Parts: sequence; structure tokens; C-alpha cells
Amino acid sequence: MRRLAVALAAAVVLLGGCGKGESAASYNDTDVMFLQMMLAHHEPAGKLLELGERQASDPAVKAVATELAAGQAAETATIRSRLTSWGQPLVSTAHAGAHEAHGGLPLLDDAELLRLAGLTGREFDSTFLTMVIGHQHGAVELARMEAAAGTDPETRDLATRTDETVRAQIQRLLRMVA
Amino acid sequence: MRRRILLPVLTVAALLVSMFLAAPAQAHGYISSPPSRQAMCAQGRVANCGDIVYEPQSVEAPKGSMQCNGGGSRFAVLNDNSRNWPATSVGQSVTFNWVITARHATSTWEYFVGGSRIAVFDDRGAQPGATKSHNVSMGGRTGRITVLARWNVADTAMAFYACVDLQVGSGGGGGENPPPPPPPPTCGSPWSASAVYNGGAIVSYNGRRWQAQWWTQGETPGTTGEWGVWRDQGACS
Repeated sequence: MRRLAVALAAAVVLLGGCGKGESAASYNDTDVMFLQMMLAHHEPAGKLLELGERQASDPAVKAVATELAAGQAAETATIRSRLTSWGQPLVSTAHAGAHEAHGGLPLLDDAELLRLAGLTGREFDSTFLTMVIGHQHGAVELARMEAAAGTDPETRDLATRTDETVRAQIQRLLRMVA
Repeated sequence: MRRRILLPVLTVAALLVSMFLAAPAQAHGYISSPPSRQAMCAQGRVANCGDIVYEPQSVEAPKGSMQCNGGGSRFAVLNDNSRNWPATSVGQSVTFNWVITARHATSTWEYFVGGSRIAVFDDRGAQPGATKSHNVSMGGRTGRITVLARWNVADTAMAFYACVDLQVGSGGGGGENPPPPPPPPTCGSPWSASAVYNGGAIVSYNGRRWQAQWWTQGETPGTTGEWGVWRDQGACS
């Protein structure tokens, strides 16, 4: 019995070694899905942040919109170039129906952005910040999925950074709306 | 026998994991203002809360519980009254604002104090927007209270739970304590007579900050009157 176990262990080590040598890709499906979903996550936020920059009345709220939009633009560029270098599509058809689980409504559809655009003053500011918080929780969820199951070191790093920076943002935003 | 049970259990577990991977964004919502207990944790005002800091939106449990964590297996810290949860000062009329991360079809939103339901809002299966607000009367209650809110999802057996600690005054709308004065606003770019400004644009002029209320060009801030295009936002630096 013990001999069998040793033989099995040796086989596993050998196979493991082989696998590593042959596989060129350092990434797995989770890495690809994380990057694709982050792109899909950033897209509607772009419109939201633009509206915040234009219409917020409190300069601190405007500053949040500007800061987040800049961070997001940089991240989008990184993600696009990584997916492209991997030869992976920027948009996953596999997750096109992801919103269906929630009855077909994404968090930030045009109707919600229009509703926000119709508000003014403090009401606009607090609604805008609350939408940003809700949206940013989604980024933390994606980042934690990647940290749990992704394999590409750089992509895992991106996830760790996203988790930390976005949670710090949420802390700050929650204090602003409290 | 044991093995026969184990295999299906493992299969279900694998299925659950793969469902999670396929759609991780399945969380939901909580009250951000006045801050609920999970919001206090997520904004770092209450420390050592455990996993709730990663997902204040996920306090989901079967409907019907009167506990702050919904009686589920996670987030028991929310039930711990010895935590000295900060109480937000409010008046008799309180607006509860929800952060929403998934727009679940909703049957009702309920608010309780002690064992009594003080308000219910029936959405009849409609989906909420990306935010939700309810105005609730405290019904003459004063002093420190904990409001339990339940968001009842229409098409599942689950609800989302949030407890909000309040210090209720007898006054009408606002809190007992006036909000802290806002810091002096920062100045925008200097106003230019030739530039075109759209509604919302900020400029500085004569050491003050001005916001355009609509499209304008060539109208000097301070000369357009109280109801004119440039609204004075005070001294700035």
C-alpha cells in the first residue's frame, strides 16, 4: 500500500513537471474572465463618472469622479493590451447573459443614468455617490474571484491592487454619504 | 453508503463553485445612509468586523428573521450589541438610502423597531433602480433605537437585512447635531470673457467661485443677478 502511494506521488510529480514544460500560457480561464469582466464593468461607469464630473455641485464629489475616471482609463488600457497580447477577445460571449440572472437589468442602464441626470444639487451628489459605491462593490467581487482562482501573476497583482484601492474608495465614499 | 452520499455532495459543491465563477456579481444591497452596521464596518468606523468589510451588500438570508444578520451563518458580528455601534442623530422623519449592487425584483421593503413594523413599501415585484430611498416616520420614538430593515426579494425565498442605529430627537427632519460646515471650496480656472461655458461649469472671479447654471458666453460673474447664469458659491482658495 505504501509502495503504491509512493509510486503515485512520483507519477504526480512527473506529470506535473511535464505539464509545466509544455504549457506556454501562464494564465487560466479565470484570468481571462476577470479581465473581460473588468472591461465590461468599466464601460457603463465611464458614462456615470462623466456625468458626475459635469454635474456634481460639491467640488469634492467632482474630484472623486475625476479621480476614478482617470484610474479607470489607465486600467482599461492595461487590460486591453494584456488580453490582446494573449490573443483573447475583449468581450466574452460566454458571459453575455450574466445580467439575465438579475432579471435582465444591469445596475447602470441608460434609464438610471437619465434619472440621475435629471437631479440637481445635493440630491444629485448623494445619488451619484451611492451609484458609484454600488458599482464599485462589483469590482471588489471580481477582484476577489481572480485572487481566489486566477493564475497569471500580473493579473493576480492587478486583482489585489483593485481589491485594496476600491475598498479604500468605498470607505471614503461611504463616509461622504453617511 | 457514505461514499454514495459524498459523491452527489461533491458534485453539487462543484456546481456551486462553477456558478459562482460564471457570475460572481450576484450580491445585492444595504443601507448606506444613515449608515447601517455593515456600512459602519465597510467604512472602517467600527473595526474587526471580519468578512463583512468585503461585502456589506451580501447580508442575505431566508425571509422572516428579526436578526441584523438575518439569522444566517455568516456576519454574526452584526447581531453583537456590545460592539458600541455609532448611532446617527436624526429627527422624526428619516430617509433611508440603499446602495444596490443587483436590482432584484422586489416584493416589499420593511422597517422594524423592537418587534413592531413601523413602515412597509410594496413594490409588487418591480425592480428597483440603481439606488433606493424611503422616508420613514419614527412615530414619536425618541432616544437610541435600532431599526431593522428587510428587503424582500420577489422571486426567491431570500431577503437582505440591515440594522441602523439611531439617536432619535423629537424634531422634524434633520439631526440633532448640525452637520459640520463644508470646507471652503476650491477655485476653478479664472473666468474668461471669450470662453463658452456649459451648465455646471465652475470658474473663479474676484476671489469667489461661480457655477454656470446654463450655457453662457461673455456674461461677467457677479453682474447677472441672483437668478442669473452665474451662481455665487462663496469665497474660494
